Amino acid sequence: MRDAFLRYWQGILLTALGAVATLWLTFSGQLGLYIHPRYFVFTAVMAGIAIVFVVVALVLPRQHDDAHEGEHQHAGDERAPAWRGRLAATGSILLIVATTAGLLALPPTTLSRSLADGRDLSAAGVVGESAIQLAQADPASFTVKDWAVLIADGASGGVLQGARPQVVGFVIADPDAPESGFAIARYVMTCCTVDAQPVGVHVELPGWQERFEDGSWVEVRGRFVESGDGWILQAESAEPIEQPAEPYVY
Amino acid sequence: MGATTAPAPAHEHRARSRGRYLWLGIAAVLIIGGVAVRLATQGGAALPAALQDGVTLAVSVFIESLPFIVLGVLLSVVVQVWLPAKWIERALPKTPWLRRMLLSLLGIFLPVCECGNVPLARGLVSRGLSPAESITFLLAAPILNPVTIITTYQAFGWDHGILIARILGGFVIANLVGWVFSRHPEPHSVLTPSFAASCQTHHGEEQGRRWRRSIARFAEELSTLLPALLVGCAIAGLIQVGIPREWLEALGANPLWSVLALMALAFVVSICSNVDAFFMLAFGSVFLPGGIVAFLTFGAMVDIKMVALMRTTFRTATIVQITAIVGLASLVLGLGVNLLA
Repeated sequence: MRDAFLRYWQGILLTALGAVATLWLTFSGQLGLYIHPRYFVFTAVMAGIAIVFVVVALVLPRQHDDAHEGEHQHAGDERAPAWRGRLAATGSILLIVATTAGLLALPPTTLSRSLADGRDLSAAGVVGESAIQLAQADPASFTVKDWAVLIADGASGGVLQGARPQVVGFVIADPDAPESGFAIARYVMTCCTVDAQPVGVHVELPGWQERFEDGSWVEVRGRFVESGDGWILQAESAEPIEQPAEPYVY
Repeated sequence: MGATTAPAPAHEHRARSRGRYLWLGIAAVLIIGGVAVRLATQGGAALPAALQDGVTLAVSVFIESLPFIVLGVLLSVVVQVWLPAKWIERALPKTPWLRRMLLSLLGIFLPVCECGNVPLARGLVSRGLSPAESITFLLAAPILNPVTIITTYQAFGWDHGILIARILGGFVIANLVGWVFSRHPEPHSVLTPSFAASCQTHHGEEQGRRWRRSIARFAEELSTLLPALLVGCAIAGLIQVGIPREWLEALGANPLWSVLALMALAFVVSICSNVDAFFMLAFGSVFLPGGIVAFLTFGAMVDIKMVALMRTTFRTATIVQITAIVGLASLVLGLGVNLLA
């Protein structure tokens, strides 16, 4: 039975956990916490196919492979002592429990603000619409990433000058000038959470520490003004908000 | 492979069907249990931020890779169960180096990520391809496929020859490693004993209904690959939280260290080759182009997730040799680009 578990059922169980978790994330609208929307359909379809295989494997009698299970066990005896089999089975059980915990029991969340520590917040390396495309778009729908792209572009002063931005993001305290303002940032995802890069805009708002915590989500309205080496957002109003359902920008 | 089993006695049948529902029961208990814990602890205490981020990163790599693994296993099942072995032999030339060269271009038709290529490579070996040929395919396919080439072009265009260096570098390195392993006196000794044994078993096994065999192959491949993938994801996620990225970025401007640092980063982050160019773009301003090329070639062939997956098929010594050759060749490629660019 141990042999059958390691060779056959372990994969069925892990696939079931992975596919159920994927479909749950899909139907609860939370898949975007882990992967880019361009993979949603592919991921959900493959999870659906995996579920079909899992159900068939669990329901149909497992007939064919019994024939050489014995052979394997026999061959295995020559190579691996019994303790290795026990170790492998224990490891596998732990892995299945950990997978259940990580995929199903723990609620999906976004990355914490601490991973943005010491990272460059400019949009220098961000892919997506170029500043030229953005200049023709409606600024009402701009995310903090779009504004950062325009600021990094250097030639979009005209757009920034007349803009009335309304920006949503989390607070990153500026280690150099903690009193006068902070950066408002979001993670930009290109494939999955692993490649998330923080991108942000500097906000001028003296005394912000009394109202917001580092890492909390805020919505800032104001105007862009030129300062020293770039553009910063001069806040006219800033309100704490709940973390958006889609915390990443793509 | 005498698979002429005598009809099983009735009590064995009963035991077997009980066993069958046992696994259905365990699957149900795990899923319902996991969901119940989530619902019961809603709004409860959260994990420490660093650990939570590690879990989030690991889960993200897993959710991203799982569909590619499933697709790779499906293709592998097709190759093993549905495709006549003769077809593969007939389609490939006889000259060894020409065969490897052609196999290194197979990724153009099967643009799955590197993790999906592992099951396919396993399927090809169990269908009679030599280990050296499967290694050539495994290393080349993540780079020489249309998705990777397009995303690299989108990210870098023709700047500094990054795209050309990646495509040519990937092709040459994969064929170089394939050639080295083709010189091995005992080709099958580069495989793990258990995988070599299962190739022997499956070879020439034609009895049984194909659908049944497909299900069996599917379950066996996933039993081998998913534990490796999960361990790789967990290590990749936790290491990223553990190693501050500034350490690597601090090395970026030096011609030699930028190459080594980015290869280390590529190994650690284990990002899919289809999209690693976008990831790398963020570092484009910090690192020299040679480092970027080394990241894009080395990382596509060898990283934590891939090593974990390759462990299912190749001996540790083989993986160390592959890593060493690919690493050295990528280093030379990176330094060369830095010299020329």
